[in-house]
Amino acid sequence: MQQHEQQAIENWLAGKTGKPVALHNVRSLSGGAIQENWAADIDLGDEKIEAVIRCDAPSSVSDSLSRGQEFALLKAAFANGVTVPGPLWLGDAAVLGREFFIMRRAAGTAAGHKLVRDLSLAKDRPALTRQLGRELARIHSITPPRDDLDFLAVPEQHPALLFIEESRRFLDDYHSAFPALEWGLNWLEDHLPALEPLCLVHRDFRTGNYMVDGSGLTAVLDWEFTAWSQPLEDLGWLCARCWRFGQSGDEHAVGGIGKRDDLFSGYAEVSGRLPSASEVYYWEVFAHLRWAMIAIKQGERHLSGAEPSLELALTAHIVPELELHILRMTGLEG
Amino acid sequence: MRIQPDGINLLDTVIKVLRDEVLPSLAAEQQYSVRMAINAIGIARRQLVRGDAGEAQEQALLAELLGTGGSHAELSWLLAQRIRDGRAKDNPALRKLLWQLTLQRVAESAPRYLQQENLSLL
Repeated sequence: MQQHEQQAIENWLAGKTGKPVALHNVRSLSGGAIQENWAADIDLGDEKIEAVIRCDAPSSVSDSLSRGQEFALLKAAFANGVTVPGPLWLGDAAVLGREFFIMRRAAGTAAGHKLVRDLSLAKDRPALTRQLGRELARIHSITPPRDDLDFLAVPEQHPALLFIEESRRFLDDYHSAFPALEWGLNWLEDHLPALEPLCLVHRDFRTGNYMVDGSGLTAVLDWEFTAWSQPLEDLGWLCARCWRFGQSGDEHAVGGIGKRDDLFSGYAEVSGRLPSASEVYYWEVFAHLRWAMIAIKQGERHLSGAEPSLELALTAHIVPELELHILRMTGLEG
Repeated sequence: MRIQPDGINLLDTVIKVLRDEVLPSLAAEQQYSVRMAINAIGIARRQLVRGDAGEAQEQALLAELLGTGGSHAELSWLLAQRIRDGRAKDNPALRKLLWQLTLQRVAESAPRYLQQENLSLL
């Protein structure tokens, strides 16, 4: 962060709180293409706050949520008892020339490959898995309509059907055919579950997007894809094979760290609803298709020349194993 | 005739240098790019080994089962269309072809999946 930006934040925050403000030890955290994150220690009067400043990237082109919208979600989740970094202040876009907000800094790490192997982190894995279930149930207890979340569109049809139709439209216009994904989309259509009441769905709740330390879960992160959808979508996403970081077997089905039964029982503790493996299975298939569609689009960002990147190029090469997995999950095998 | 070692040998050698010499000399946070490079070279190498013969064979199979001619890309579109129209579900030959085509893509892009899941190409 540049000196004048740091000063602009200090001046703005002093004006907002009426207290003397100083930022120390400002350093870049790994972010992504969509936003940039800075760790900062903030002296606010007599108080010392360990904070993260989360900004829109200067060249943000994504259709994901803005920082202001993400801040509103963080506040709503925090108020509902979800373990998120405490939201502090929403920045004025005039301060940095782009949207930002400040939240408390959670302890621990989010690195998925580290979490699945390093058992000194969140030692009690069944307890962590149950807690993930409780967190999801608290997120899902937020339901529309909500004035503070009115930027989230309310889907006018079944969210899974919406995905199927959007995916087919995309594939119709794309330069390559994906017969196996067509097979999977048909399966999703043929097995469409009954529509349930809409609720807040995180839509990227997976290992790698929550933080843990030695004692357990410290924060649920990355709320930029959150939408009104079906509750079991989040459970299916978390159980998908893609987020197991090399772990295999049913004992690692939940994000490479735990069993489905523990996730479901944690979910029931808060929601009163015990999901069955078979109803979540639909959303596991859905998760593989949704990730495949995202991976194609990521690869296209490289392929089109818009954003040449080895990482994006290799993301396209994840699609075949997703396709094969989808075929196996939907009863088509050799 | 091309001089030996050939391209495949060179790619193998580059992978070995990156894996055995470059990777161990890097700090953990710098290893990611090199791991990606090794992965990418592996995909390119497997495509080179397979050559165009495999795609030609697939194309012939597609043409036979779909009952029409066309390029591999055109026939793949047609297969995708048939599947979307629900005409593959009860067609064992089309189902088998879809499985084989997908298996082949995985063998090139992510052979580790086949090992992890105990699947073979044949």
